[in-house]
Amino acid sequence: MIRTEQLTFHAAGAEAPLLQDISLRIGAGERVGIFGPSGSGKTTLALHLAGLHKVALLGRTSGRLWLNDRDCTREGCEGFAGVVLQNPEIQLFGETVEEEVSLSLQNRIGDFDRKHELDRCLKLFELETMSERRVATLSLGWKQRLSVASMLALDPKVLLLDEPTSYLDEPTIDLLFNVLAAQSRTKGLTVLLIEHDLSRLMTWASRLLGMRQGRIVFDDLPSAYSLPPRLVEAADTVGRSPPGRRREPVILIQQVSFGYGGRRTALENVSLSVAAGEIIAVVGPNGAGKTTLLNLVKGLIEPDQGRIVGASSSPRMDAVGLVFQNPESQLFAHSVFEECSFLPRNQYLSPDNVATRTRRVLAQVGLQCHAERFPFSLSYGEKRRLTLASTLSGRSLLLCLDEPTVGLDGDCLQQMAEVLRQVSAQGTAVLMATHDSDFVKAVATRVIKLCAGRITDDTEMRGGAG
Amino acid sequence: MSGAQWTKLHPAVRATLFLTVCLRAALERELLPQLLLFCGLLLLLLARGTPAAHYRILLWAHLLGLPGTLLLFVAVGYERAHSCSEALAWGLFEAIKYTLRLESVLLANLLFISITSTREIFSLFPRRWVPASVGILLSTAVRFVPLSLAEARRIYDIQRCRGLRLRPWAPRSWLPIIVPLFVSQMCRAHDMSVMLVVRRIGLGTEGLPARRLGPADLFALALALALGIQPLL
Repeated sequence: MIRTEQLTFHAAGAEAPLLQDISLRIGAGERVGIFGPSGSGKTTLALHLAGLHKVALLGRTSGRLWLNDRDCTREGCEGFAGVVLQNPEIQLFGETVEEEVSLSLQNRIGDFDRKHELDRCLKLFELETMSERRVATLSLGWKQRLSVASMLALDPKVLLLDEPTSYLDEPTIDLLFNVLAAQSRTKGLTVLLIEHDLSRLMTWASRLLGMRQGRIVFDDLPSAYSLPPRLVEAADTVGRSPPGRRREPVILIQQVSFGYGGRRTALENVSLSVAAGEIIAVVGPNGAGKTTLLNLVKGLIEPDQGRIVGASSSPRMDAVGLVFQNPESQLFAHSVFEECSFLPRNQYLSPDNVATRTRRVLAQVGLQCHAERFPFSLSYGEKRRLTLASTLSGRSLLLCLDEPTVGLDGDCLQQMAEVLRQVSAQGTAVLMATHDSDFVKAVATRVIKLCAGRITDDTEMRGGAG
Repeated sequence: MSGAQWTKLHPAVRATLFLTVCLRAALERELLPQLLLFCGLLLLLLARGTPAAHYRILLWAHLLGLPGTLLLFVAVGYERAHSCSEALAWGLFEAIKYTLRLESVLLANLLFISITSTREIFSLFPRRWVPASVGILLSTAVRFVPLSLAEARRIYDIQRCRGLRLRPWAPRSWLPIIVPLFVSQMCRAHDMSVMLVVRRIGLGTEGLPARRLGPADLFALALALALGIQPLL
């Protein structure tokens, strides 16, 4: 079905190829898991295999690429495969759930029972009860379900999914993987799935492709691959802060409730005390109120009821640092150093102090050698570390992170975990909202579970700092 | 009526109903029916759950313009009656009617737009004049505007967390918002265009599935007819 010979791709303006001499064959019904560090060429390869390289990439493709026995090296082959990207917001074009799936059915080729197919696709992702719902009112998790359902409604022979689980909670990820496996078995759908979570990929895929620096370095059955030590095992060898006496709280959340537009309750009666040096993971399903809690703590929104009290006299905007998910939403300066020093400059620190802090923080996240580089030229993992550094350079007593592990490969995850441990050891508290259970086990000293806006569980982890 | 109930009506019936309401608002000469029409439309908007911010500015703009309108109508009244008290009474009456008429037309349009998608509006035109793909592309472009506004708001919050203080007189202070917004919107536009290709949404696609008129549609048409005919009688 898919065949490549010596496939090489040079991005426009770049000397080093993003793909080098890729030769492989993928048959119908295969479930191919693609993994590798950020920037290793996973997405570039997958876009070629989906026949979208001419539409989505700017550069020169050499070698040979056959899709369904048709040479698509030069002209591409749009419509050959379905694609699901990380962010569901950009993939949906309909007004309502039903219209979204119907839109795919209108553009589907061949004879089929439209009503039956609509019901089938909605049912696959448990969307049948919300067919009248407006797409704009769905949470990200439901939007991603809908985008996969819409893509399956096109009845593609190949489906490419590029890190589709980034915004999903565990039950939704399980559902997605089960549906894809079932479609592959029953309809012969070939699935190309790019994913960082190797343990999950190994149980699901029928074949693994490992990539590094534009080359395939592993191509075999999942059973032939030995998993590198997981974060939690690595963390055990490093060791966490020993249990000690409870430190002073840096922030107190007292009986806080909050609702958007005065209607839907996002948080209800939440009370929490965050002590210096603690690393608290806030977990829970999509829409549980995790991000809302972080925004409240930072002071971006104010509670409808209850109050949030900081221990220090400095305003909460200064005492609490918040790192958002997407690094590209904040980068603007012409150098890494300038980007990182933006916060301390705004806190009116002396120029010497700003420079010292910035250098120290850049060294802490391992970016000191990139200080003069243009921020947009960094890899994704480096950009994430830069956004973390640009928040750490302030005078934060509490560091909040929203999904800090999204899009990070194994090495970047280790670095992120290491930085958080250092920050905690220096006495800064960390509050992170995440779906990544491995990362939670590796770094958190305390886990708080939110469900429908309420704290349902508050557990100290083994060896925690509390 | 909630949004879901409105969408059960055929788009053509919705368009007829709101054209008739606009016509009625324009032709109505009595104050009480005009006031009832205005209140009814306002209640429908509230029941539909339209965010108050969408129409509050509209109402305030006209209320603020009321003194000017009043002055104008009083001047016209003085020209007609040559008596201050009569001119004031007539001017006040006509100014309120004029403002209500304008507000009703605007509210009716706002309600129609909020319950009818761009694609449904385009489905009302004959296919040979406006291809279905134009409706899809325009509705996507229209959707891009609120997404961009939400993104700008998000970036502003991110930069506020980093101590950004916007100074309207210093364009440089806007760079932390403008640069990431430009970059993210370029990426978004690129990804959306790829997805349009993948979803095969382009020229030659079909329009919305044809809908038949139901009992609710017939009732709405009868209502529209009654509303339209009554002032003519």
